[in-house]
Amino acid sequence: MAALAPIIETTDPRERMILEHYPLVRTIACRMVRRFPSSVDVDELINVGAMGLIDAVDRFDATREVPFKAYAEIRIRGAIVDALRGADWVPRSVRRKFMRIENARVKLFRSLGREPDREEMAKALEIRPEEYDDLCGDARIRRLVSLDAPADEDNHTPLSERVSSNDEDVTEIWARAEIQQEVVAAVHNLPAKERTAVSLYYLHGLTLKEIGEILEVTESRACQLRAQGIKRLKFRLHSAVQ
Amino acid sequence: MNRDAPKLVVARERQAPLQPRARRRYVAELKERYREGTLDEVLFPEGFDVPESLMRALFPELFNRPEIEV
Repeated sequence: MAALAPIIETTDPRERMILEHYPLVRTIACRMVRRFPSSVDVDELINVGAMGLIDAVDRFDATREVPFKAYAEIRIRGAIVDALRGADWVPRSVRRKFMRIENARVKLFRSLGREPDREEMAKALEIRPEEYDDLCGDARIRRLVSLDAPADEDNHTPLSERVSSNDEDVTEIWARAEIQQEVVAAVHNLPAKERTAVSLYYLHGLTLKEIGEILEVTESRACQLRAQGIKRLKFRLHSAVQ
Repeated sequence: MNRDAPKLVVARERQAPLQPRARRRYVAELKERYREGTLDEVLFPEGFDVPESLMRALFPELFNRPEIEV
């Protein structure tokens, strides 16, 4: 670290920012590579991740009140996922099905003013309810978790040692990671108070009363901020896939 | 679907402590960070996963169906 310091000090601000955050690229690449088949080379992920970091430095807008590290992480992950997708290692069928359902749901939500039921969704998609069930099954998205986590409560073997690397698993994991990435980016881009209300409620499990206390607003205002945030997220996520 | 594939478990969310005193301290710390403008640093820890509850709120059609594994 001491050897790196003079190098960082002698570079221009842009290069300095890149060098300072370069370790983040390695961290993310090492974490992501465990989710893919052994044929995926971590050094390749680091290379494309570094391009994402450079992109983040060049595009970062400090006025948006988003920490650079969080923003850079999104761009680094995005660069890696884009590179993997470009290599055509995994089909996009799961994602397409997911988005087809989600687009129909958002349209119905707007016209009905409430969540559509199974029959309404099937009608909107011009398929039978049973076919809609199958479509949902095909678009099934599982929770992506750290592969270092135990596979279940009674077994301490890490998931990384139990998840098979066949294409189907990778497809599902990738689709989930892509959607998660879009959600993370959308949350980061929310107005500050909405972002805080949504995060405290869903990520930290605080009550609306506690959120109101932190933001120094009433409980009903906290509720309103959370609801606005969710509404905005739904709209943005829908727009992002159009 | 490969039925032999291991079932992925739901990720543990970053929940506030349940014990009242610890929870009050937790809320007070978040409030202090909000005033300082450093709350985002703890809201979004490095590598956090989107909580299941948020995915349900955003994509209820997929995540609220009981037959869908999450």
